[in-house]
Amino acid sequence: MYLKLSIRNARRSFIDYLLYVAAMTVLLAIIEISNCIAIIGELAGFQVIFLPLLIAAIQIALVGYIDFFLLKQRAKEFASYLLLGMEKKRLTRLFLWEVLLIGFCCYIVGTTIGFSIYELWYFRDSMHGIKHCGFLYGRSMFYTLLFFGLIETVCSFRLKGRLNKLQIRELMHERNSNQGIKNIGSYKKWGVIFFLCFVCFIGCVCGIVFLPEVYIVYPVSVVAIPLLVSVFAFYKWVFGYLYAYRRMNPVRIYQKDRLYIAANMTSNFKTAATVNAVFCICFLFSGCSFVTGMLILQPEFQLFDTAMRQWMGTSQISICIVLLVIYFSILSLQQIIEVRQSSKSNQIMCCMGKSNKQIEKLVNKQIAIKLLSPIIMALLVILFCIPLLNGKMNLILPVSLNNILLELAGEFGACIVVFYICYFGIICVMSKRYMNTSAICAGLPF
Amino acid sequence: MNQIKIGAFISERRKAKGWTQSQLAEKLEITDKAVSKWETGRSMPDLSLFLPLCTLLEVTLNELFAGEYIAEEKLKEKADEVLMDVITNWLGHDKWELKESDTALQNVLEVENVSKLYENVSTGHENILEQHKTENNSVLAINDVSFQIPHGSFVGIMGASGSGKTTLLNLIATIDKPTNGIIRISGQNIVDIPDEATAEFRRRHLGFVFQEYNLLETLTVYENIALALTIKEVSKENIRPMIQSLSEKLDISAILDKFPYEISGGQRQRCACARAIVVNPDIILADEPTGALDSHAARQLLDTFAMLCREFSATILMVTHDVMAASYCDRILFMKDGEIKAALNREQENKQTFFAEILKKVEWIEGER
Repeated sequence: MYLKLSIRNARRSFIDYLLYVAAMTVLLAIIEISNCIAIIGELAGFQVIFLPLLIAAIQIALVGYIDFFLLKQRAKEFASYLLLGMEKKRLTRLFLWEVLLIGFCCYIVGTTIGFSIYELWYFRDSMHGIKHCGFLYGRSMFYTLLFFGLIETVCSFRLKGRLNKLQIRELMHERNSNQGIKNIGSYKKWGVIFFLCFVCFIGCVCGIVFLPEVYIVYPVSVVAIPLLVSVFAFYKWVFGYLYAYRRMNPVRIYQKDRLYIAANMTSNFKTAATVNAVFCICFLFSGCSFVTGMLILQPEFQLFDTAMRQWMGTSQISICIVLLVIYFSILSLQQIIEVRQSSKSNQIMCCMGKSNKQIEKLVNKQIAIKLLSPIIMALLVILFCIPLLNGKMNLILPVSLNNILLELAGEFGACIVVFYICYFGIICVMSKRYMNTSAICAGLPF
Repeated sequence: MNQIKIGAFISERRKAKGWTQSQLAEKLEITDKAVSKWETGRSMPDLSLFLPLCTLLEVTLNELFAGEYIAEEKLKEKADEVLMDVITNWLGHDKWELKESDTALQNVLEVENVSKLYENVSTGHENILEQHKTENNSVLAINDVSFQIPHGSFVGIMGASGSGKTTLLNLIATIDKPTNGIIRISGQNIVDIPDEATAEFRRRHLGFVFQEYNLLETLTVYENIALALTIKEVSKENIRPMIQSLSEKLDISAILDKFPYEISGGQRQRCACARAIVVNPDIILADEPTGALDSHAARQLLDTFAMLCREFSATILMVTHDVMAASYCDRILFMKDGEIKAALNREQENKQTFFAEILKKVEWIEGER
């Protein structure tokens, strides 16, 4: 009976699960591709295991966020089950089984898609003279299954912990609850952490640029740590500050749409900070992959033979595209679901005298901000690092590759602009479906 | 002196300057409700405001009192006319005050011969369809309804499901347009308002209190009330004092920093009332506001409505099934089959007596079937 209930619930909550399904499928497909690359790379004598590990880490963060989002959507339903007498243990098992069931389906679909893409793209390459298709498929599926198991285990533990903590009364209000904080001034500590870590990071970059070559290995080996911490601390600081500013009821916020936008951004500011940090890291690694791949593909870059260069360069650029697709697709899907869920708020705004055009404009503004906010810290990093590293590379690389880093940064920026415009346009068009004239006011409670 | 002509002239000059009513009110340091009253001819500016108003609108006193521009060649003639008018009025000065109180009784809402026909409707309720069916399976949801609601009154509409009260409220709220008839709010025919202008009309003239989902969940109570003022473009410096004074009157000062999910249903409804009244609407439309409340919270809310009428001269139109809620009204309109079947005015009776009369009326209307 509980299996039937799980399946029926999953079908009914299709739209809410869409985010989960899309994220799991895409990310598992990417892990499958990266496992194939890692296996082939291992056979060729390269260690590329960091890639699937990185994707798995991103997936744990994203899936964790989506799990909590799902819990929020269905919290009232769970409260009803508990009121009817279902035990909490049983309810927790029911929900976790649903999530696992869907996750496993995503695993099958994702790995199939991932392997097919890999087959299509890489088997044309001369690197794959030996077609050990079955061996590659089996081994990559096994590795992906291990990663899937790890992701599900970590996320399930967190979800179980969260469900166990919530009482019936809290479940009834979970959907509408806003995240709060006891000490509004605690964002300042994140500001200090960000400042210190960012200084460390710049220090590492300066070390890479200015230290003699024999010592470069030290900053190179640790540079990722202050970078990641400073990205995380930056968003914790910014969102904490925005929340504190809003709670102080400053006069300036009561103009135009500032109050509404600030309230939406800070209603779940802790989660938003984490999600923005994850997406920022995605974006930064995407940029690094793009630059690395394009550099490797330069004919003047003679570190490897041509076939190896092609393979590695193409892999890096594929990783870049994959990370950008993760970034924009998942953010976009999240926005579409949020727009759909804000229909009641739109109706209230309509009653208060906002026209449909104004509401559309407001929604578009929010979409633009949310698509852009993870890029802010990345821009800061790029602003400091690119000039320094470009100078260093001008010293190392042949003259024909002078300022190559600046050029590649510009090209990457252009790609981002194109992606941004396309995805922004798509979300605006799709969100209009939920905001047409008759829909907003006709849905009023009268 | 034609107050309506003067009001129209002030409105014309204000719009020529590109100002909203709020902006003009801010410059004169008065409320925008006062400006609205001038422009609809319900009152005249205070003596102390004539000269500042003329300076802002760049008109002479003569032009203001004449309610029109005066050409050079007609200046002397018009000036004498205006002076004569003013002296006449001055000698009968108390008539101005009478006019002010007269306008207090003026109707805020006038519904004249309004009908609403929905065409090609399939409701799935064949018995209702049969009753109201016209040609081509159309449904006559509202049938030739007329009534007026004077300023400062608390009027209830009672009726069973399907009687048309929700449809009527939709028409008054500018969400839907009637098939026939006129609906005037503060003298303005809302049927003629183009679709793009309805949002501004709602912003300036209407307030809403629903049964549920009144407040935005991501905003605190304070911010929910402030949002209404922000949308109305009230000066940001005035927002805090307005909310603080109103919240004290409505006894919600202690919960201003709470989110809607942290307060009770009754408190949420009082906050919704605060948000509705803070923008000084001409009329507040309430749809089953006590529907989701227990009896104690419902009584508190209805006392709040009565207080709004008393202290803020608010005009409230409430749709309700609940006879207890209806007993708080000054007047009840009973709807059935899209028509107003009866009206009941509360004269000097107390609530209990009025309650009994309402019950009798409801039984009588039900018995008409």
